[in-house]
Amino acid sequence: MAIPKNLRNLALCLLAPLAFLLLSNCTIVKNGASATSAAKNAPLTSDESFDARVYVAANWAGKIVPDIEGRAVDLKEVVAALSKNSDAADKKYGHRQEDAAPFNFVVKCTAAVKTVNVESGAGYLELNLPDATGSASVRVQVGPVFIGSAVRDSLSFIKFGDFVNQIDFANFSREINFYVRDHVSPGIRTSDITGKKLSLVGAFTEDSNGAVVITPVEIRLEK
Amino acid sequence: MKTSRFLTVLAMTAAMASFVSAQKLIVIITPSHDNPFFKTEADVAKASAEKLGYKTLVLSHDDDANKQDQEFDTAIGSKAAAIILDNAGADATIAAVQKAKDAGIPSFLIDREINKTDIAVSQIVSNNYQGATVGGQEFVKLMGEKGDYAEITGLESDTNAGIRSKGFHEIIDQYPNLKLVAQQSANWSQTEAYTKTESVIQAHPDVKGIICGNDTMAMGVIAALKAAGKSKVIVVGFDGSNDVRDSIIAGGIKATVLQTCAYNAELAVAQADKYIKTGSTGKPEKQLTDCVLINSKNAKKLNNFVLAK
Repeated sequence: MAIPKNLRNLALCLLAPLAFLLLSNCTIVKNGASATSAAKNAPLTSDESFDARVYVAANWAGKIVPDIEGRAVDLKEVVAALSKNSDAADKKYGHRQEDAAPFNFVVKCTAAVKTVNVESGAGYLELNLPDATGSASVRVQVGPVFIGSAVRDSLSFIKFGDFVNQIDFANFSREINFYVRDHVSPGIRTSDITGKKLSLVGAFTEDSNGAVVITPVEIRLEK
Repeated sequence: MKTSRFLTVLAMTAAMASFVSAQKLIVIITPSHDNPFFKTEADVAKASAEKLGYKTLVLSHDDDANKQDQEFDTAIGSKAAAIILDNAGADATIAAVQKAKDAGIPSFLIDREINKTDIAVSQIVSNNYQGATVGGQEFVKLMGEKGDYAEITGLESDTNAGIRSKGFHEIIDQYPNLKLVAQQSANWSQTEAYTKTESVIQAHPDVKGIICGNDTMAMGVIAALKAAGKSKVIVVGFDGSNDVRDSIIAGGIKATVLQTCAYNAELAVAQADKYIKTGSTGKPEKQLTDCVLINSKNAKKLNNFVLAK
């Protein structure tokens, strides 16, 4: 618990000036182009000023994590609902922007670690969730390579139309994943924690094969 | 008597139908149909529009912004009810779409986006970046996370060539044991990809994989590898064409990424129709459609850019 929180605080201290810079940038853009509705539609970006890394770092603790944490549902409940009736589960717990896109789910849980798999660059933990009725394995990404955009696509306060183009939109997700790699998962990735209990908050994207692969935004080992 | 009355009714119906369709024209503008991706996109848009009772005019800009501009003039001159567009440049297209808007003609963009909002009614964007990360992940897995590889990129002036390359590298570059030994553009062309591959394998005989910016080039790459007796080299493409599907089934190319161009074209026409009839699509302007990984597990379900459930 202590390590990630300290890191977070440290990051906040370091990044507060950057956040201020970014905020003032946003204001300038907004004032400069306030006559056009395009500016209103694109609060996160403008051609020059949007830096996804700065934005993610500045908004991680204050906006991104609370947005996920505030809506997080017990993982067992979601997995059980998905295996029972995925359409109903999508409707009740899912979040998506586009009609044809897969649904995303924000979840929290406390569970024991069944296996640690870090030989691949895209490392993951497998959780032991004996009372989940679903038979699917539950994985938690620990990197250093993080796959997908579950965290971005779960956020309630952004949409694709807020960004100038798909590159800015993609950069935003990439920087979220890099932030998780650098600030959320390091302590977890480097230690042998098989059998230990951990608590996490995170997001996953529905997979047609039923796999649950969570990208954590908060993770801590229980005593 | 009965027959003649029937014929009169028939003639009247035909006259009415032609009157209605003469009033409502949908102009469909895409890149060259030489690439089956764009042909499918145009064919589906045309069929969808005609099914809804519209007359259609199908044009190709061949990735030339000037030609596209002239085609917009044609659409404006013909008083089109809507334009369905896969555009010739994210910045170069802005003026043309604005011109149509000023003439009261709404544009519905598919596949590629433009760098401005509020001038097109819809931008149904194929998420090339997401698709490229999906293709990149599969490539990394096939490579066993290590080895020398080459990349064949698309036409430099086409935004999607750069987007796909960026998406590939976002994933691949995170694996320190994967080494890029050659990166060359084959301009989306099969024959150019063939000759580029010949020189790549001559200079780097141990190359283990080649990742390609589209399926047309992947077909050129696999042909060159086959001719050189290097059937073990891993090839991954992008688009989801029937040619690559067949190669995957036959054990040649290992994977590609499907862009749902048929779905996007149909969706754009449906939104154009709704907009023409009600003044609103009921959807946000910018919509993003994800790409889907195609490999030996699901290739058989793919046909004409549609993956069966």
